[in-house]
Amino acid sequence: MKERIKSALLLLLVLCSLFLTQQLWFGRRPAEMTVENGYEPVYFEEPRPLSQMIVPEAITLYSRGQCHRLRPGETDFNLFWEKSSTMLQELAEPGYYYYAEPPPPEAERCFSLQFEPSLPLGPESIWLKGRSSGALAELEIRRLEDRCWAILKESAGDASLLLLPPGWSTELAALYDRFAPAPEQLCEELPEGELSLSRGLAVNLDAPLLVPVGVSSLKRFSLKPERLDRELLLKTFFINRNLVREIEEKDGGFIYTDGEQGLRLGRGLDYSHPRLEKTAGLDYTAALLTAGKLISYHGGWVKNLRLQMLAGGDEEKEGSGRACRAQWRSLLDGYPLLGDSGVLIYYHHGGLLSYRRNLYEPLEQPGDGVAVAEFRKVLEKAVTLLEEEGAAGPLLERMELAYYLEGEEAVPVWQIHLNGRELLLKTDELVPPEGWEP
Amino acid sequence: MNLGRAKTILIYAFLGLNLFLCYHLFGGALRESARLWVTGKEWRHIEEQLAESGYLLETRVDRAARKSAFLTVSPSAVLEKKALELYGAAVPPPQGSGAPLLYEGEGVRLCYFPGGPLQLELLPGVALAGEAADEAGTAALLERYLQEQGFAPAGLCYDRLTRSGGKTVFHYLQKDEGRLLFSGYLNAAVEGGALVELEAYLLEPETPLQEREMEVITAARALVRLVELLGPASPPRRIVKADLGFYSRKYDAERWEMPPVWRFLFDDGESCFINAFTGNLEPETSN
Repeated sequence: MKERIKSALLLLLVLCSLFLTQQLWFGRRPAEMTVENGYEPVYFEEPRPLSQMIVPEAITLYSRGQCHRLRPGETDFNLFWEKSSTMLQELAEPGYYYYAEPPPPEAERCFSLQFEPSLPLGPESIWLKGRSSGALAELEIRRLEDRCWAILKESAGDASLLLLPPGWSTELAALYDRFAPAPEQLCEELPEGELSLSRGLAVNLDAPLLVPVGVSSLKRFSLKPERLDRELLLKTFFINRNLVREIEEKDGGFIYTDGEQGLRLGRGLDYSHPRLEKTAGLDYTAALLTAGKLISYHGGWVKNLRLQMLAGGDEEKEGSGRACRAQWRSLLDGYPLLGDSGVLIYYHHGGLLSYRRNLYEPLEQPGDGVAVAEFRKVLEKAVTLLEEEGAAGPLLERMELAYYLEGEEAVPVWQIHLNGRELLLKTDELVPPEGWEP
Repeated sequence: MNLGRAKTILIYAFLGLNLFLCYHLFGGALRESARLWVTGKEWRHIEEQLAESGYLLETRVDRAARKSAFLTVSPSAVLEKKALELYGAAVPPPQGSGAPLLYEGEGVRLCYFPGGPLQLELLPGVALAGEAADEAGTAALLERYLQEQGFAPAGLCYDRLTRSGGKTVFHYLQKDEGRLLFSGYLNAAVEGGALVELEAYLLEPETPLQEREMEVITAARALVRLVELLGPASPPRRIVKADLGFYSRKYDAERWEMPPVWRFLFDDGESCFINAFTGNLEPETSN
């Protein structure tokens, strides 16, 4: 009897050990099925290199008394920018090329690149690394036969002159000679002083100003809002996704918060982290690189998105001390899309304080062409509108073509800066676009 | 060889093997739960820490390790419908939009904020008991009245009592399948044995998703965080209740998720909510 019990117990133990071994061997969940720990670094794309973060606002070419403006996205624009950027990168020691005298008066102005935001210079940058620091606002190339000079105009107001090495002089001169302007690239350079308009109206200019005159019509664009992967987006903002709670608003928007930071998804994206600890400030190049990193992580750069403005750490952000500010705008056919569209971030060394992103993609087929009224007519209308408000003899600071977001459509507008005020007028009807308020 | 002896040796060997396998299979989970439980010694240490900072714990506290998920809720319209059914018909239609809606009738003033709390003023009030009735008696009569009128949906549980002027306010909390919802409440003010005011805000909870369950911090950890966040108290403050439930501020939204919180109720009526996932103080500390 005792032996029988022993046998049964032994059998039971053998079976039990087989079962437990099977559980231990096969019962574990494979790694891909285990719950995410929520702490993996997640981002939309790798940050862009500095060389791809900034493009000039415009490139202006001067020939035979006329000037032509190239806009971002055009083939010629890319050629001139790539060549100029490479040259500035290769001139690592600009000290060798400084030219103490002014360029000969016969040297012709060939082309210039305007930078807004400025191009960082110095050891932290990739352009003119031999410089101690600086930020380039404009690069102008002058030429006399086979010699070229580069005038470097800095944001701080200083200017320096380089006599370019023969190789670069030849390349830039050849590029310039090959350029064939298109009629719509034509601009008029308005001289400094008073500009008379009809009906006794006039505006003043305190510096020469370029105004597009070759564009007779611009296409309308139907747009669709950008769609971002919601889960991926949440993981880029919140370190532990599991701690994020969702609030569904009555208007269909969603708010996500972990108690410290908040993200609202509705018409675009709004993120805020008001209690982010303040840390050390950022210099211009570091601010630029950080801005690039932040947009790459949280949504990415989309096609035709251009960094339009970068303000260093001297801006006061409500309740968060000093912060850097960066703004991107979409370009449609090289013209900025104004209105409630674009990306605006406030940040400092410690991270992102706030982020507003509302981007649109054009539908494949552009709409009908819209007539573009001649700039003098537009100025007359703008001055009349200002006069109705009691302002006279206004100072014209800037006049450009752009697009404005009306609902989900981009309409062409004239953007005029008069006496520090911005005025938008539709290019055909010369009335403010719908939804725009001065 | 003796077969019986061989069997005995094999039994011991397999017993050892099975114990080893069990340890590998279940040891981790056992160690984890032991880690989360608060031992008596640790608990005494926490009580001492609290006392040193001026907090006296005068209630029993759940010391077990627990798991929880966010609880999705939406505003409930049950009481609003009931109040309008009872009082809305006899009064003028609501005026204006966005602002609280007011209904005034004979002996009643009803005010509700769309998506917010409902307030009911009963003038001169509904007699519940004589002025001499004790609090327990009044509470029982009040609960019966609320049930009769349909103002006490299943799940309301008595929380505390406060006094304001001549009024005694009975506070009830919403409870759903054993879970306390600190954001859902009904407060009834009784004066001179008559019910004079009602304020209520109820929520419609959804079933929490089990796969989203996570460990919550223990009451001991939450108490330590409370002291860290509030700082030392002088004169000492008494903690009279410590409960695990769900809480968030009110949102004018379709639905939202509430985190599990540890609610610590002080003797002065103030509640502090410690998020049971993060250990942070939830923004609004009192309802």
